[in-house]
Amino acid sequence: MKKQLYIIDTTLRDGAQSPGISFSKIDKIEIAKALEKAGVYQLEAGIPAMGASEKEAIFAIKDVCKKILIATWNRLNIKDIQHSVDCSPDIIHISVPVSDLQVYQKLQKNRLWLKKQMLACVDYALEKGFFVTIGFEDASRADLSFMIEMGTALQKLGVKQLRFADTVGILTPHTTQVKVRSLIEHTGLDIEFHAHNDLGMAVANSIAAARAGASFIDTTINGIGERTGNCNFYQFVKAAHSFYDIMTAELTAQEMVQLLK
Amino acid sequence: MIRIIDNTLSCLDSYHASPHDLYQLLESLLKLPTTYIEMSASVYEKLISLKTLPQNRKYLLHVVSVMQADRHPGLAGYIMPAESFGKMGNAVYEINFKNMDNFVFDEKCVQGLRIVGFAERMAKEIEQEIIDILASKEKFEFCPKNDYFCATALAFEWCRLGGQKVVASFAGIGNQAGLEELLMALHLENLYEVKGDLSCCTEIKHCLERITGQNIAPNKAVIGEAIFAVEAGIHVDGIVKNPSIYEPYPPEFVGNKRHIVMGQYSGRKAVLAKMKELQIPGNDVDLAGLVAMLQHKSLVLQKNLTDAEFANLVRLVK
Repeated sequence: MKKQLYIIDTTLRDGAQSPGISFSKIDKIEIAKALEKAGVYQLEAGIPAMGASEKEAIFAIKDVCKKILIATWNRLNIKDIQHSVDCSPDIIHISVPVSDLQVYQKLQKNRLWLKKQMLACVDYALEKGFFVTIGFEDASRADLSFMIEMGTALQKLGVKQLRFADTVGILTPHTTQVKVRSLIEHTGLDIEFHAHNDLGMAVANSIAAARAGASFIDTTINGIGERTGNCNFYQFVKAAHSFYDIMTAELTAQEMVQLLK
Repeated sequence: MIRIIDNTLSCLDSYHASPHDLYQLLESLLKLPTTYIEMSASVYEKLISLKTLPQNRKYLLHVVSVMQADRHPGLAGYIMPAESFGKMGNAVYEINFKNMDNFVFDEKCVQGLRIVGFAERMAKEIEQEIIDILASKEKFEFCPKNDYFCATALAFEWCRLGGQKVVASFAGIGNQAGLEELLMALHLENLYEVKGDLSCCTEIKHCLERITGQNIAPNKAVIGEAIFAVEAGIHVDGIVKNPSIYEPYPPEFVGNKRHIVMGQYSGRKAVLAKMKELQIPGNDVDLAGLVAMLQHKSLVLQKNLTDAEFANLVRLVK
């Protein structure tokens, strides 16, 4: 039997935030409907902290999509999460910048602060009764033992799903496999792999992650996303569907590509 | 030691390229750190109709038969289909990966074998397959195809596991591994020395676009025009603090530039950074108001704002 893989589409978040792309509310609803029709497991609907128009779009998507799980994206602070709570999504996703470069230079904090802040945010969202997933941002450049420590703490809190983000797209299939496998072995968390295409390896790395045991793969329609984009939905399905059960038909994937044009 | 064969000039036969454009492309491709430049017989004929090839470089000729190779003696090597048997010391035979098992290799006849294909293998045990191929006695070189969008990764894995010769083409033309992607990956993993930088990629890209009449996608890895554009507030904030937070390598390395784009996802920090870039003094500006107007405007226009449109907006808010 083929192993089951779940697609998490981030066209409306990572895709939408890339330069030159701007979706209207109607575009967003159409895209969400198409994703649902294609049998995609989860979609990242947006960033509620951005403001009223983003929230409106998320509400509208919730109104029309009943099967696909709807997640909202948050920075690592309570205020962002409060905005998400307002939208009552199925999943609250919190991004945790985890490389030292991100922690010390972008956030200008330290590892101790990061862990405390992460646990406080997760606690808050869980208290409110939400399913919480965490995203390790820049995981590919982060210290593996620190990620294992953080992942273990999450697991104890009851978090089940962890996104491994190759934020700057520097992984290769081999490095992907080593890191993802090690995180799964040491934390027992379900891994969601989030590729970027900076070396033209987004599809190959996503397949490598699946081979290493990741159950969730992040994609975008037409592979849009920051810089060189994310893993292209259609390309990934075409490359992987004969080895994995992806809950979606190739034909629908093509229809979706058409839709976005 | 890894030796890279650039076969961009073998993949252009379906375009009507002028000898002049081809020669220019050849000259710019020679600036990349590769070992061999491979070209089709028809490209070779066009090039030498203009002038002789630049000296001190190794050229390979991709031919369809031994006869065609005989017409152009003196090159560093010849690549030909496996069916075209004949005794030639410096020929490499091309074989499709699927037909490898029933191929008999005769070292007296040929220098090596080029594996073409392998595209569908990514989801298999490719590591073991490559190790097995490399352990066999034949001298193999590797030309993965891109049917499943994994050619660059396959080419990279071949090199990582000890494969010595690998074939790629610029922008992956001809359904192959992207030469520039492969070079960048090998460089970032310290497996191959790139002396200086890859800034000649911009020049090569323009030559190739002229020949094919097709523009390379703005988000194409390594060579896309817009890959260092950044709009989202969280990313701009990082880039301003330290570009390497959101860049895999500096844009200058590939002859590109980073630039901040104003749009729906720009936040206060992005707006401040853009005003600094455009040298607009920011102390008397209502930032929250400006961000709200900017987001509204780009939502209405359904696009990013140009620098002029943004400067106008700042004037309105002041």
